[in-house]
Amino acid sequence: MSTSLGLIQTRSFPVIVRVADAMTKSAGVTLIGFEKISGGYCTAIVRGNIADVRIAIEEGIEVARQFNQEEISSLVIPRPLPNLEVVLPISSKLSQLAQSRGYSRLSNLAVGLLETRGFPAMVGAADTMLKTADVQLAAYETIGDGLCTVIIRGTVSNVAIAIDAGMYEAERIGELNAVAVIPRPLDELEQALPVASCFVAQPVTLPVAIPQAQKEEVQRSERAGERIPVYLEPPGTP
Amino acid sequence: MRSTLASTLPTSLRSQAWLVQSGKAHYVVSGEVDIEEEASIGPGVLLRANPGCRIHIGRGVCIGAGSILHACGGSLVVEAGATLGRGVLVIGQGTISENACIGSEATLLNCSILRQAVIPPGSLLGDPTWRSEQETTGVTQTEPEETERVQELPAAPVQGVSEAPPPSSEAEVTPQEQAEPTQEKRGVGKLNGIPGRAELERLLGKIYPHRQVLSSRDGRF
Repeated sequence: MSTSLGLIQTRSFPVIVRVADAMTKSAGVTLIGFEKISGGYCTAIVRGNIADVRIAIEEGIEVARQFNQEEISSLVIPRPLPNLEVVLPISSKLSQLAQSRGYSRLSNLAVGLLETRGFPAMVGAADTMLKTADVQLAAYETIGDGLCTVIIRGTVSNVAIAIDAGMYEAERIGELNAVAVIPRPLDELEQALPVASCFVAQPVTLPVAIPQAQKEEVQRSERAGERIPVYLEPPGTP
Repeated sequence: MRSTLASTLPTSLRSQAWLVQSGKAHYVVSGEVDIEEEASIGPGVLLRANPGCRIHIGRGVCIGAGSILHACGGSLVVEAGATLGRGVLVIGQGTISENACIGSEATLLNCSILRQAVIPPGSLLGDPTWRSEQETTGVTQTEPEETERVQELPAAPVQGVSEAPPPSSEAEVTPQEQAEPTQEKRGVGKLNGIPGRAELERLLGKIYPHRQVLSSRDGRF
C-alpha cells in the first residue's frame, strides 16, 4: 500500500476545514484527519494516488489563499516509507474505523464554523447563533494561540444566517478570527469533525436470538367427548 | 514613435494626433496596466488596476477624455477596436469585446460587453448593488497602496508598465477615490478582513437574493 501523502497547513480551524472540504471534492483523495499542534496551526492530511493528491493540494492552496491565509505550508510525498506511516499519524483510518465511534445524529446537515480568539466571544456567539436560527451546536475545538472554534449544524439557510449573526456578536464581545460555511460536507469530512458525545448515537446491538422452548399445541380432545345425543324417531309413530 | 503613429493614421487625423502630442495631454496609470500600440487614450483618463488585477488595452482602442477604468476583482480587458466615449466609468472585471462602442458618460459595473455592441450614452450596466472585492476583503487596509505616476503622452501612448513605479509619499489621488462605487457601505468595517466573510456573503446572496436591498444600513436584518 504505497499511496501518496498530502499535507496542507493554515492557522485557522474553519479555514482548514473549508480547505479539506475543497480537497475532498476536487479529487479522489481520502481525508485522514486534522492534526492540531498548538499555536493555531492546523494541518489537513489527505492520502490517495499521486495525481489526486497533487490536484487536491493545489486546490487546497487556492482556497486557503482566498481566505487571506498568509502562512500556508504544504507538502506532497509521492511514496512515504512504511516507517513514516507507522510513527506519524498519517496512515489510513482503519484503526479509527475499527473503534466504531458511533453514528452522529447530526449527519447530512450543513456545517458552520466560527472561530474567535478567546472563549467568551465564542460562547456568546454560540448562544446568539442558537437563538437566531434552527441550528444545533455540535462541538467546539481549540487549536491553541487563544483560538477556539464553535461548530454548528443545520440546514444551509439556517447555518448561514446563524453564522452571520454570530459573527457580529463575536466581534462585539471579543475578537473574531474566521468563519466558514460548508453547505454539504462529504462523509469523511464529517467523520473528521469533532462531535459532542451527546449527539453520538451508539449503535444499538440487536438481541441475540435465544432458542426458546416452544409450547406444544394443546390437544382439544376434551370437547371431543361431549357429544350431543341425537335420537332418531322411527317414522309413523304418533 | 511619433513617426510610427503618424504613418498609421489617415492624413486627416494626423494633425489631430499631433495636436494631442503638442498639448502634452496627461493620463494616470496605476498598477498592472498593459496598453498595446496604436491605442488612443484621451487626456485626463485614469487607468487603475488594483493589486492582483490588470487592465489590458488592445490595439486601436479609443478611450475618450476623462474616462476612468478601475480593475478590481479580476482582469479588465478592452479588446481591439473598441471605442469608449468621453467620461466613461468602468469598474470591476470584465471584457469589452472587439469593436464595441460605449457611449459617453456610460457606467459599466463589473460586466462584459459583447463584440460590435453599441451602448447608448449615459447608460448604467451591471448590478448596482455589486460591491468590489476590495471592499469585502479589505485589501486596501492590509496591503500598501501602489504608487501612481502621471505619464506624459508622447505621440503614441505606449506604456512601459513593467518597470516598477517610483515610490512616492502621496499615494492616493482623489479622483480615483471617487471612482470607488461604494466605499464602506457597511457600518462594521472591522469584519471585512475576516477570512471566510466574503464567501459567507456570497452564500447569503445566493440564498437570499434580495438581502442586499432589504438589509438596513448596518448590514443586519
